[in-house]
Amino acid sequence: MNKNFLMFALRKLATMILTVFLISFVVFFIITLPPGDFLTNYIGRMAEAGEAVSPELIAELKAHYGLDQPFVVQYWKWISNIVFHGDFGYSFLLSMPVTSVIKAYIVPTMVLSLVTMIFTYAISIPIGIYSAVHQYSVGDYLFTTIGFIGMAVPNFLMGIILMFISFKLTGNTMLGLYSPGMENAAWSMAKFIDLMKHSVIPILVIGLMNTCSLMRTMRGQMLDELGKNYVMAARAKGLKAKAIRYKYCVRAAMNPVASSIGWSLVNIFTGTTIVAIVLNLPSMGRVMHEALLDQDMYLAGSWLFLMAIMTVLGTFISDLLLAWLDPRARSEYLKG
Amino acid sequence: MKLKKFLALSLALIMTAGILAGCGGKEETPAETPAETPAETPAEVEIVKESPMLAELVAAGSLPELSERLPVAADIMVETDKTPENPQYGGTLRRNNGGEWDYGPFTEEPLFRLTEDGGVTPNVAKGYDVSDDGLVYTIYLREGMKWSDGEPFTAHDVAFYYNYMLVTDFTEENKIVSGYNGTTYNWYKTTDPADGVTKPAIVTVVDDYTVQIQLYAPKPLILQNIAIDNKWMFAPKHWYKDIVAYDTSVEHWTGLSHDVLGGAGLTAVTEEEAVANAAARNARFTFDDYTQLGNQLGYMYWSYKDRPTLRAWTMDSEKTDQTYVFVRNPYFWKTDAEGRQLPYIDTVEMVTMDNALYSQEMIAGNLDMASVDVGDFPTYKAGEAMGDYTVYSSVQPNWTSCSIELNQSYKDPQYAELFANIDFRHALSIAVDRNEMNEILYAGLAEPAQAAAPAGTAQFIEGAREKWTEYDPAAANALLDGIEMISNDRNADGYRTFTSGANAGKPVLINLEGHEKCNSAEAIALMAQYYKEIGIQLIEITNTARNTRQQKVTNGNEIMALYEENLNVFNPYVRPDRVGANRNICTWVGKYGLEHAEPMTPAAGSEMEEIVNLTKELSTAATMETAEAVGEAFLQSHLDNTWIVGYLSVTSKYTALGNDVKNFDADHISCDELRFYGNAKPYTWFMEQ
Amino acid sequence: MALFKKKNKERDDSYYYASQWQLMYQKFRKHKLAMASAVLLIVFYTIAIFGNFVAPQGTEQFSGEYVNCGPTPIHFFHEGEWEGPFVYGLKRDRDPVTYMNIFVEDTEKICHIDFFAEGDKGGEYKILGLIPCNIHLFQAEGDGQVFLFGTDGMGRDLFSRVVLGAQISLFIPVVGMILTVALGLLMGSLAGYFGGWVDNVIQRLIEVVRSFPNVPLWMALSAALPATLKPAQVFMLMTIILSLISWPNLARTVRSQFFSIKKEDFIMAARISGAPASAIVLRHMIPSFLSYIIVNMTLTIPSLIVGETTLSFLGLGLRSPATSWGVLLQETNKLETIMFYGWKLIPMIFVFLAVLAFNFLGDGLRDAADPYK
Repeated sequence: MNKNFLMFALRKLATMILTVFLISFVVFFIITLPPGDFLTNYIGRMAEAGEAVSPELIAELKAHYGLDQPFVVQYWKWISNIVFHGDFGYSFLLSMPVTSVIKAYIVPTMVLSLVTMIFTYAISIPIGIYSAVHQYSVGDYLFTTIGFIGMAVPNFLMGIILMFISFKLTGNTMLGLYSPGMENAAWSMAKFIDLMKHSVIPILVIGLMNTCSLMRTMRGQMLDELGKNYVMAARAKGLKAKAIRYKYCVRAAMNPVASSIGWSLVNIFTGTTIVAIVLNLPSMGRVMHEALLDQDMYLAGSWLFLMAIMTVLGTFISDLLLAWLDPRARSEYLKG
Repeated sequence: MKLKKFLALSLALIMTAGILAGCGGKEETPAETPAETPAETPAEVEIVKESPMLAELVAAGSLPELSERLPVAADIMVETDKTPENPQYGGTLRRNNGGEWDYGPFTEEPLFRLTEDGGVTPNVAKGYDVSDDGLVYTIYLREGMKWSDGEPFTAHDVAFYYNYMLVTDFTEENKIVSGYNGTTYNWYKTTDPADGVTKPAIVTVVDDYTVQIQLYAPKPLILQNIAIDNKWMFAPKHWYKDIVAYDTSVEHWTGLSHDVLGGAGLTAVTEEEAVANAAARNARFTFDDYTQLGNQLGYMYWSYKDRPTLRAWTMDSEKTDQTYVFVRNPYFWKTDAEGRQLPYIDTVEMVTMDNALYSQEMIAGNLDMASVDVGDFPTYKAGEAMGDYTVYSSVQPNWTSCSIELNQSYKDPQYAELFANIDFRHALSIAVDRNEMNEILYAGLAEPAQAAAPAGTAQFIEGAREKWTEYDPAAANALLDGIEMISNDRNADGYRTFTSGANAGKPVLINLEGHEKCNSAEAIALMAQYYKEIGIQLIEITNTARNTRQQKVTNGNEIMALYEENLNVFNPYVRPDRVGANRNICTWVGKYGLEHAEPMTPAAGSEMEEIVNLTKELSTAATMETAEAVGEAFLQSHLDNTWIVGYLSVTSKYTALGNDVKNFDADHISCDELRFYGNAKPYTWFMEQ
Repeated sequence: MALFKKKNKERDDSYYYASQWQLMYQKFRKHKLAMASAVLLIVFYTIAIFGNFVAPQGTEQFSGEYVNCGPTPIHFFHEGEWEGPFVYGLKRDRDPVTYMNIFVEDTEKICHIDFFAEGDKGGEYKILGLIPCNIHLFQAEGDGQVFLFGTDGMGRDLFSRVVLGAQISLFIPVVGMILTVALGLLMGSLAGYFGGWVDNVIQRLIEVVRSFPNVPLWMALSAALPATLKPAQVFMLMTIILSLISWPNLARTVRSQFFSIKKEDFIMAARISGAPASAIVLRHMIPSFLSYIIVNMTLTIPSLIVGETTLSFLGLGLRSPATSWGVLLQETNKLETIMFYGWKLIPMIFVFLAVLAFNFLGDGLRDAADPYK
């Protein structure tokens, strides 16, 4: 049994590495798609600052960054620097190493994403169970409606509407992560509370979008489980309905939901990008947007790559989790 | 509108007055030292002369006394006319962050400051002398003045910057090479009558507080050039000496001893060493190569924490931070008339957010200051009471706020010919209903006008703003019908086509590059709809790849046309950048601009050739008369040729400012040359506590 | 189900004789929300098809006279007397402080609303892109203006723009959906039918595509689109990009369905009797999970509709004067818009309704697709 699981984990790991390699290739392809390159943009910026750039300098820079070489060579240069030196390249947009940029933004982005994810699951699983058990009740309809609103209103608009409501109720738009003056203050209880207050809207906006589909999956799974024969058998044995529900049905229904954790990361990163722009959060979303428009390819590429790796990792972990929880999953996988 | 006082004719006058007086800076050093002023108000409480924030540090022993931080009493710069009644120290001013070219000028302290009438006034410099032959400029500095880290500011800092960072080489091809950012630099050029070669000026240290600039021929505009184009002609030598590349064992291009050039005490640093030293000093100073290092730390230094400056506030944030915090410089060398050290405000925060968010944050009371886009004026105005702020209006020498510049050097010969045809520009000008555009874009706040100097400025020409402004699509169509190379009938999409050549059968299509920062999309969409009426297709290509604009402008012949939202012209000969053929950001000039690495030569006898020649003439003009004549010729050329087709002009610059911010001079003139808000001297503002 | 619910009512005999499709229809009809959604969508699509007729203005009309005008009320009585539907003339004033436009009804001037009005006011158009016509569903007479939903910052009638925007926002997602489903089906069935290395390759591909956060990916890809494309072409390409990202969901499901059905007896029977692979897939396997595909199709559309609004918000979608619901929502990206020009949020209601309607329709179809349950 244990050996079985190890085999499963190893095979998953192998495919994961393959996937990451493929992703890196696609990322590099995408970031080199737009016409022109970062160097011409960089030179343009220098020109706007009132400087003339000589053709010799341009040629020299081109050689320096390997831009005169074929795609595969450029790709190799990029990926080998990452793998062997941990060097993600240089951001021309911000005039600093990409690693520094990522360091500056990764913590807020990750914290926001994680908190949102916890919120999403903490809300949608209980609601899904409730809705399934109390199918067609007032509560069921209420939650379904809220879920649908979350899904049907584009999240940038939801952000603006919530901001408006907040402004009307509290006189503050709750933009950004801190109130004026708090951003640079030392950590204190007041600052923490301020942060919490400002997190409500972003978490609601990003969370609602995913909550709806999760809630509905959970509800559907739960309904399926409730209709299965083992429930009938347990009931016939004299177990209480409540015990059956929470001890067996919920656990079984959780499996597919748990396995979706990895994928839901994608949605959360997506949501974060847009919400960061609307609500002015110090996450990578805004910088990413700029970097892409500016063709600051090392920055854009590295970030895209990191997000993708994070998703793959998330999936890997949720696969392992699922295999741990549900032996059927791994045996099926091993059989092919 | 309200351009009442404006940019002057009196430039020549001031210049001569300065020369005669011998020292232009004398009048602003008052006889009585500011330190003694409290003695004259014995009955009152003693005036607090420094911010409580700094007083605390002094009390704790971590900062020297105020008198030790300021220059010697006679050399303190006193802001006499900007001293408010009962100013208060402290407070944080939160304002919009418009990027480095916005927050830079906000705190900038140049050697000389350009004045609203076109003259110069000493700033970091205390004063200057000019020799009788106009070849030697002696610049006096302030004794005891200090950098924001407490190190003394001396003549060596000026000479070091010029000789080792700015003009590091002078090659045979007559190119002046700036080592620190790898570019050619030409503001100090004069032609040597001895050999006819154009050479850079020679800058030397006379003593600790005196610098000398030696020219080969008179250049009456040199101080203006320094004031505008080389505002920060100094750098902290003590901070740069191991991150700038030089070798004092080799002879300098001037042939002079390194000691008089500001190189005393230096040995040798290679470019690689400089990059490595910078990175070793602080991870934030990690750059990919020497050019990057020079461009960032040497040129756009004000974005970097820890770099000593002479400014009222210095950067205290990482570049990746969302809000840039600028903290007061404890060594700032200016006081008010009553001897209080400036600035009054302790911190300035530049808050970065999406442009669309500033108005709501002003209304919500989360910002103290925002620069107002004219189109948002109604919104800001409607929110005044809610956000407890006031929208002020200042003046700007605006030629146009909505215009199209056709690239006269466009690479496709057929388009180049079309753009050179004045009837085509005439048609584009009268095809647009300026009044309707004004209603839609600017709530009726703009002036329907051709691109030309507004009334009240020295460059104003009667009738120039009215030229070709009458909306007349029929006449526009008739004009286009008269152009042979394009068809009179329209294709299936409703556009005219080329009748012959490589583009035969293809629609006449202008790719217009918008401006990413200024919501140009709506204006361009409107223009496109007017142009369609006369069979010309207009496409905006900004949003998909923002920076292709700059890239194409640099290439000089790739961009077809540019939408210009805010074209302000200070003075055509003091700064010819937008009206002459110089810079590479000027689209109508295209690749004819002299700053291009390889500028194109215009056809002999063409109007463009005239502009190019005028620009060359101006760069080495030896008398004021020549410069003025060139300025007038520029204006005439624009009047005759309508190089820039202007539709609307906004001569007011609106600013939303919290009601607790006092002493803001709403009457200041706002333009790049005067450093926008820098001209309103933010260090004299204060916040009611 | 039986455990916690009351027993089904007894069915009449017709249930046992009905065909599968009849049963599905009966089941679907019972789903009230789905029925209502279907009706609503039919209305939406019909209006969109005849959009130029329904909309009083064309896409390219604008006016400096009516910038940011609120919805004009429709009146029936003038001074207590029946007049039929009419609007009052509009007087424009400017707030002396804020310079905002203020529109006041000129109660002296009555402009009746003409139905099936002919005239230049609304501009010419082509019915279904073929027959030239200048008749509009309704129009105010004289220089009266009917702005059912108010106007935008360029003085354009919002109602017209919502109607004309529907032509893009409702139809292009259908194209995207077809593409998504086609790709998903193809990939899923290839993987599921052949298994082995084909399956492995496709699985990796699915993982790669699914691992990218959508928005950054759209941003990158749209930065690569040539700038000279026409708005409609840009939009088409964006749709293709959207569907290139969204196919893996369906592919995964199809694949697993294939795996389970492959072992069923009827497939075995078909194979033994010598049916070619294509016939097995197309005639036997795909129909057996057709219901799932239909549901997936209806659920792909709303996500594409929302996707379009997001792209437009980021400035990557269509651009004015071309219109879509996303373009209309672009103007609401400011808090002040909600504060001062609330009517500009009206397009959101349509996005909302369309997305919900497709979701409910999908729900109804899911239930109906399994009529024996």
